[in-house]
Amino acid sequence: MFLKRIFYPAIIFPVLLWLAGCSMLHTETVEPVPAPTERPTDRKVEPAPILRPSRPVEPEVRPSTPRRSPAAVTGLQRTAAKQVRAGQFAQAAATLERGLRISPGDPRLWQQLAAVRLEQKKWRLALNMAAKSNSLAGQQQSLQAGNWQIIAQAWQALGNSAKARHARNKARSLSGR
Amino acid sequence: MPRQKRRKRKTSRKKPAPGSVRRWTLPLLVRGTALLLLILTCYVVYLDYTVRSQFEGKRWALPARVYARPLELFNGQQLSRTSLLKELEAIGYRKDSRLSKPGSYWRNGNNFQLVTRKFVFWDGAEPARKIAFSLSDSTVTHLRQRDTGGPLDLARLEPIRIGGIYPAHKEDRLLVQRSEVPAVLVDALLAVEDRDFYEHYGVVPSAILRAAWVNIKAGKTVQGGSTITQQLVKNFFLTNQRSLVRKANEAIMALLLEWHYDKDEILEAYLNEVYLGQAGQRAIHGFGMASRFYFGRPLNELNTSQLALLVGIIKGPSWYDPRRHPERARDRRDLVLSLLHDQGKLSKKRMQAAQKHSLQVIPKPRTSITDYPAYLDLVRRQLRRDYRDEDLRSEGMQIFTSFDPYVQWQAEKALQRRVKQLERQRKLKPGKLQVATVITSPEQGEVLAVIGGREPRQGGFNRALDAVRPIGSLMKPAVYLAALEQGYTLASKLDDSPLTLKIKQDERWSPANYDRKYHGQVMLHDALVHSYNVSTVRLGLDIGMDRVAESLQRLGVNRKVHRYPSLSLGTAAFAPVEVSQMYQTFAANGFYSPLRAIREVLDANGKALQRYPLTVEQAFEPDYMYLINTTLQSVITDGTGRSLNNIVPRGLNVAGKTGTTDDLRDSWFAGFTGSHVAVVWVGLDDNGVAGLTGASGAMRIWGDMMAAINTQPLLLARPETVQSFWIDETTGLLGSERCEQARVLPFIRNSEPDSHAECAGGVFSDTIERVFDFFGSD
Repeated sequence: MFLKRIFYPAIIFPVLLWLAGCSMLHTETVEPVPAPTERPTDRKVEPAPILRPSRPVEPEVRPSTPRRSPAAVTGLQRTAAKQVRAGQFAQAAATLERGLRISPGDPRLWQQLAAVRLEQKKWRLALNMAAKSNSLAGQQQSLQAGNWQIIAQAWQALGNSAKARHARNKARSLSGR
Repeated sequence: MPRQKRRKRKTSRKKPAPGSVRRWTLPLLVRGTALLLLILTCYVVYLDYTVRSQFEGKRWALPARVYARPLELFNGQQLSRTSLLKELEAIGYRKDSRLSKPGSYWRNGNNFQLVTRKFVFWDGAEPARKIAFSLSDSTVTHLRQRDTGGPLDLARLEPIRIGGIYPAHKEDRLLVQRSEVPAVLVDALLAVEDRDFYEHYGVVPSAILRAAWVNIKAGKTVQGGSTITQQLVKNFFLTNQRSLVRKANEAIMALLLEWHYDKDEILEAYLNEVYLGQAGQRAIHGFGMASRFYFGRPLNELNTSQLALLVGIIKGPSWYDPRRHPERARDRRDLVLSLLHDQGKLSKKRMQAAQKHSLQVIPKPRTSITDYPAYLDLVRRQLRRDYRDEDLRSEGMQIFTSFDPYVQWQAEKALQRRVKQLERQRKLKPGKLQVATVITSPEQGEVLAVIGGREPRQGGFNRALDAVRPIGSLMKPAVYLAALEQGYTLASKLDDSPLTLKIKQDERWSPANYDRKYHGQVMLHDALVHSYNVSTVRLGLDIGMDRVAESLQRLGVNRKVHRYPSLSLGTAAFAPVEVSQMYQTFAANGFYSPLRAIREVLDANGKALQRYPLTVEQAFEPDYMYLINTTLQSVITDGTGRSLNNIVPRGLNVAGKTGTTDDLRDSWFAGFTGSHVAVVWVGLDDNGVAGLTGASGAMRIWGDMMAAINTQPLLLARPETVQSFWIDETTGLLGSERCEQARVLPFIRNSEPDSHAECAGGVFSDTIERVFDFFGSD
């Protein structure tokens, strides 16, 4: 009950709302994509110091910082939003998949697809899509939080309260930071 | 009643009949005629039934049409000029500075203008529109609507048709409606075949008599008195034999057809029925398909001279074949044009202009059914799960696939060139070396290209799907992945010293390394990078063969495998497409997506029937995948795949694995970039010795293919739970840059070695580390 009444509207709704209103809200709610300047660029592998010899070294390839998708993808997200509003979930999924062909590494698209699948009660698919989004989300914590919320909701629907609780906690800690 | 009749007959018989012959003749004649009329009426009713049921039912078995992916245009898209031009050519766009009709384009340097055609996709119609864009550095920029000048986010061109699934008689047609048919075509058709079409009742007796007279005089058939209705009847309902009975049937049916249906319906049926050419086994019927077959574009885009040629061909599609007999075809076309002029349907000026045109015919499609038999084979197999074969062959369904023509073309070219080169190099008998490849997209598992043999355009044995061969070392990443999940790290030490296993009572097996050497204690990372066999067998045994098999299954391989220790070395046999599925899961960072060739299925009228959506299932945690995938990158930078760097740019950061089987029978390579996963197998059909290792055979083909297509670098996303450390290679302990042989390796947090190698301070560093941990810094 708690889930249906409070949790669902409070947590899942915003994701769908974002999807539905992504065109309008885009500039406000867009994830802070780490700007190139924020990234320590030319940090070379540090020489092993006498102290702290086993300090982790910088990897050669940085954690992925998803690049902004082309405008074409934004347009498709807008279309998908309309389709979601009209309850055309299968069409919305097709539109988002078209977006993924253009920008396969865009975690936002994967998340929106997860949200659509959740709405269709395809719980397993929804949580796997959300996990996929997480694997591409890099440092974008609020995006990750959204994914964990989807995962929590899906596990709850599948009757696994423990996993749902774990996911919810993950979501809270990520959005709390 | 019957009794009465009988009685009557009896009485009449009893009557004496002197000279009754005359009295008998008349009733007999009447009765006979009546009977004949009755039979004839029954027959006509039967013919009427035949005509109506066939004409109103499904008139033709329409083959399923299979399409490639549509080319999407958007700002920022990677697109070379060559690939764009090839695509436009394949969908029959014509270069036209006036951009007068849909299906035309104009290029000025790197600036393109297109008038696109309308096309119905699964998610609705893409309208015909005028667009413009530039290509700079093989990237689309300044995409805009040409009429408004406003920006345009996204446009897609109609897809290339890559083949069909045909009815047994292999008739191919693309239905056209009467309203879509250009007036000139109808004018020309009637001028040549049936001037009074709109006036007669289906049969013109005077014309038949005239034709008969001419034929009798000539002693053979030189003229046909058939109307278009009769011709339709002949082709549609009757066999091809010539006889009086058939001729009579034809006339009756023509009258019936005219009685039931109006002229335009009959004409439309004729336009779709008429036979207009042959492409191997495929019979080209109707003007819609003939237009594509001869000119590569839809009927409504043809000019007068092209339309006249099509009408001219009707008389003898083989005799007037414009590709084989251009002179003859041209004369015939010009005759049609002058007939049009004679009847006042074409001005003299326009006739002369049309007669000046060349034939404008495109080259004949290379094979009859499809140019891409291996890919189409995959499509059919996937369709058969959901559709009946007869429906595929007759319902005119439209199948939209993920086939990428440019990737396929480039792959074919690269592969064919390299196979010949390999044969020369290895002094193999020419024509023997075989090859197969499957190319997919990493994140979605969409199949982009399939090649089933060294002659990709010829059908036959589809090695990509059916050549089941031992995969050799391509198996190893599955073993190592399972080991990482069991707590091994990339720095774990493995034993690569001699090993003998007891298989059966008196059978022993001693795995050997490819270089015939043993390497003692090796790091897990190096064992995979250099593809050491002995240490891999030990590793497999340590984690258990069940776990290896389970790992394979989670990677997406459904085939049952044996559980002998040699499984770790890839003695299990898979088809290339199965290996593709397996490496797909690596490329997608542990997310399994079943390989799909089909995106959507529409019915003949463009109504959506089914979509095959993207699904993902997390099979492995991204951190284990990251460790394996970085190691697969090391295979290319430092290991068995080093020579790939001579073929593809280093910046692609390819991850891959070579595979070679006993006595160099099978040569495999599986690898991926940021946008393509490809698996290549090379070997001999009779399982003989090809003499190629994975690196010297399959990997070279792989490299050539990747170098030729526009592929993106692989940028692995490092999960937050993974950290990198310097590792001393000799001990596998924490090292530093100062160690003689040290390298940076990734570890899942807290799985890194907890002690330091001597070169990195040894126990002293360990102590300092503990102190730091105690104070909880960082």
